[in-house]
Amino acid sequence: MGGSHPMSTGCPRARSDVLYRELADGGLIYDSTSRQVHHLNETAALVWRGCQRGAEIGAMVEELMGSYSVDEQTVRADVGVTLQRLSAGGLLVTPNPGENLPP
Amino acid sequence: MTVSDLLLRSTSGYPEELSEAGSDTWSGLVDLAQFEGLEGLLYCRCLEAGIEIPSRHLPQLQWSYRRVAERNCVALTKLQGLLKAASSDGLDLLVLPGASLLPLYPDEGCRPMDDIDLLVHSSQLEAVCSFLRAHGFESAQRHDGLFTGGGLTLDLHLYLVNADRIQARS
Repeated sequence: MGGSHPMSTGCPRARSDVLYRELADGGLIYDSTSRQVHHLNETAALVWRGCQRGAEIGAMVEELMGSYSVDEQTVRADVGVTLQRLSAGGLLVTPNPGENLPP
Repeated sequence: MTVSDLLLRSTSGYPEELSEAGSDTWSGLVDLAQFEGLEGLLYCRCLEAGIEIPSRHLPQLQWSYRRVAERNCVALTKLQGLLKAASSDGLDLLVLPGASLLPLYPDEGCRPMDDIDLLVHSSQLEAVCSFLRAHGFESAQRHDGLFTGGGLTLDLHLYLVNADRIQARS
């Protein structure tokens, strides 16, 4: 993570070396390096899947707004908090400068 | 319909009858699901079908489902690494049901897995035991074929049918 906020330097990316399983009510991440398990609710699971495919934060917000009847400001705040928590858990990486980002 | 029938139908993918179930029926259903190790599957089927689980039972079912999912994911990840290492050492291990049945369930939260049964070729038994000990596993005193280590319990079997546990040899 290098102490940088994942939202400040571009698209946050999901670490590819952790196990993710989709569950009926969200998802589960197992980090075999830290031996920690992270439980995700439906919203966090959607954000994680976005990070897996390298989606822009705006795309995640739009996807959530399409699934839930919540205003953009609230959704954007929720996505931000979720990304912070995933980042604090050591589950995200930031792309290197110059790395190709998805449109 | 009995509670047993209701549990069978619900966990088989037909939980619609639960939408009309009363409080006593739900209590009996959840108790039976707990006894049979089917809480996670019941929870999952209800979510899939949009059946509202009474708030009285929701935390128990959700907790059980998530706990089973967590344990299974961790166990299967460790097992995968162990099988890979065993294969590199020329050891042939076959995973017997139920770990190998997990893909038939909706997800990892739906089937609790106490131990993992492994089929071992008799000619490799001693080598497999040595391999497991070298990887931090210990065998139970009264059951030479039962190994525990790193949160995993492995049960070694020599036979595919009537797979009795390997008898203590001392």
